[in-house]
Amino acid sequence: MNREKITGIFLFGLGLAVFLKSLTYPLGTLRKPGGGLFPLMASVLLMGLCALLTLQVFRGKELDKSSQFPFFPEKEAPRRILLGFAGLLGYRYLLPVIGFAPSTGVFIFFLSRFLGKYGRGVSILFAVLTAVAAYFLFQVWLKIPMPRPVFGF
Amino acid sequence: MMDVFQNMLTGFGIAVTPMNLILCLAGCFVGTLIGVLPGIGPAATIALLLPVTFNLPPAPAIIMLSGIFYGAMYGGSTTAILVNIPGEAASAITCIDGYQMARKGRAGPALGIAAFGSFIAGTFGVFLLMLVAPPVAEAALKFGPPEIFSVMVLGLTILSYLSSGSLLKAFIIALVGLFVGMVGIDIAGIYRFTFGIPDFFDGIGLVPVLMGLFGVAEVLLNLEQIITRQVFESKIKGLLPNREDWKLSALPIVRGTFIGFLLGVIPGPSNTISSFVSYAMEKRLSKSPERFGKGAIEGVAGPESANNSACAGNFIPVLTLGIPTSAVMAVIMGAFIIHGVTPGPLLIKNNPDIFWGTIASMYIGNIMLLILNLPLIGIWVRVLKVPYGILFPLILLFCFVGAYANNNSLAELNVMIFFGLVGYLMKKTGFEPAPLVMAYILCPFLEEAFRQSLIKSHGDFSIFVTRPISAAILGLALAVILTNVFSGMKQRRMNLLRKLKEEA
Repeated sequence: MNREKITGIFLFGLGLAVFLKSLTYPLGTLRKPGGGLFPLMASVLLMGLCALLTLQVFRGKELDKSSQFPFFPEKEAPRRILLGFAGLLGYRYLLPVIGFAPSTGVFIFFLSRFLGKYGRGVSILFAVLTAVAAYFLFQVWLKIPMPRPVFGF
Repeated sequence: MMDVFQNMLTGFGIAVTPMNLILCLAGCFVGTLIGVLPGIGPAATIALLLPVTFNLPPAPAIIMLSGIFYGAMYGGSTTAILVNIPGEAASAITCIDGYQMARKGRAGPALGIAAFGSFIAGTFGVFLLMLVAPPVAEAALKFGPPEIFSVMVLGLTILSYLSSGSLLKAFIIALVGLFVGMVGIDIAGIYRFTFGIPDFFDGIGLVPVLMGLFGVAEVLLNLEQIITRQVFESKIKGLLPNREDWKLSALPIVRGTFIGFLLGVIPGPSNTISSFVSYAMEKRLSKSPERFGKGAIEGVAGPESANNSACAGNFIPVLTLGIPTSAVMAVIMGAFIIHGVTPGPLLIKNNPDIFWGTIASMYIGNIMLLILNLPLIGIWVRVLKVPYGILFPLILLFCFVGAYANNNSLAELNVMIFFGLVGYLMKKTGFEPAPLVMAYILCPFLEEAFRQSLIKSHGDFSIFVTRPISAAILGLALAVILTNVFSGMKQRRMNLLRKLKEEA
């Protein structure tokens, strides 16, 4: 099953989920529409369009060029995407634990070392400089109240 | 007419005082800066800087805060062109051709035409604001819910039409965008699609969605390949547009100015709508529409002019009627009230210094922005020469801080990461992010107009086609769809004929 078919079926499922959820909100009447009416109508429209998309794909119609290319351009790509994604999640969950500047340093080091392919020394230097600059720019100068770390430093 | 010029002279007398000049420059500089930095929008910045103005008289305070708003429109194009991340939602469309121009080594002319277009449109927009504020506001007031609904449907249709992939996919993703916009409390106070998560009660924040779809997704896509390249291989030269660029851009700038100004008066995210409409119009009018999406300078000149001109249009309902048309205008209106001034029909009469002083400062501000932006272009172009291995962690850092600073909420970071993944998968499956974002922004306004129209017509859907303005706008939207369907049929017929000929 190619990605177009999966997408069509998935989005049809999304439309169906929204449709069912909309029914739990007051629909009202056409004279006085409730909160469920607009999402209900939009979900019906989405299901209709997704059905059309899936049908066209099953009939072999090429909607655009996206399916002509492999999902990952090279063998290393899935690993790199996973690393990038892990970095994002790691930063998100480290931020409230160790604070803005230290977590920024770890995040930058991780990205530049493992995805930027820089040496350990360059990565550490880049991470420290960025963390210090980000601290002064965002926390000191712009006074953005970043999350307070659980350890209180 | 003489009165207008007399008042303008008074306004310039106020705007050119040393303190007002410095505050105007400060506003323009901060505006450009936050426009350049993705994730920190003008509404948030104006709100953050409001306390700074507490000790200032009202006119200088409004002059500075206004400068941030229109300055952000100048700066918003810079990151759109250089790193494919819109500094502002209104610059989202500039990413398409601006970034392609940059990839071809034409970042200079793209940035140059964005700055000049912004200057011309911004200045002319202020001129129009000065001259036609009362009658234009009066005309826009005649727009009832059906007309507003129709305008938004037209905006969404046009946007879907201009998407580079399939129209069907664009409509589908626009509907998904509507669902994202429905999360939160509806106009009747009902919690929808929040699943009991308190962070979603006020809806899903625009900034994390934008940062995810445009920032994180782009970085993830770039991470797929081993990063050994510089961002741009070719030497970036000629920051000023050449004669050919000007020839191609002159009419788009003129059209963008008028589109932006007219749409700017209509409530809603008109800066964004006007830039999208301008892009669609330029693509449609172009003799070679196939260049669009591949680095057509008209795709930068038109939208950038439109969103700057829309800024001037945005001020009309606030200054003359006291109605904020967008989040930024709501914050600026808040600033008026904090300073003891009530914006509305009596503003011109009771506080001419603020009204005319602000308008005069906009002329000066546009000149300042042109001077600020053209020399600064060189700095941002140099930023591009930083290797991608250094650049992408910084882009992600800005996205994180921007998404977090929006509401000081860690949940916003989850939203950003989620939409980063969604944006990545969308790219892989041929879905454009712009229709999703546009539908998401428009959703609350669209639904409100839809529900009010039905209430007004006692449940009769024909209200959308029996009112002449609404019918004309919807007819235009239908024409856009039919044009696409028929051009597709024509293409298929041509392909079939070619195939038959080859077989014969």
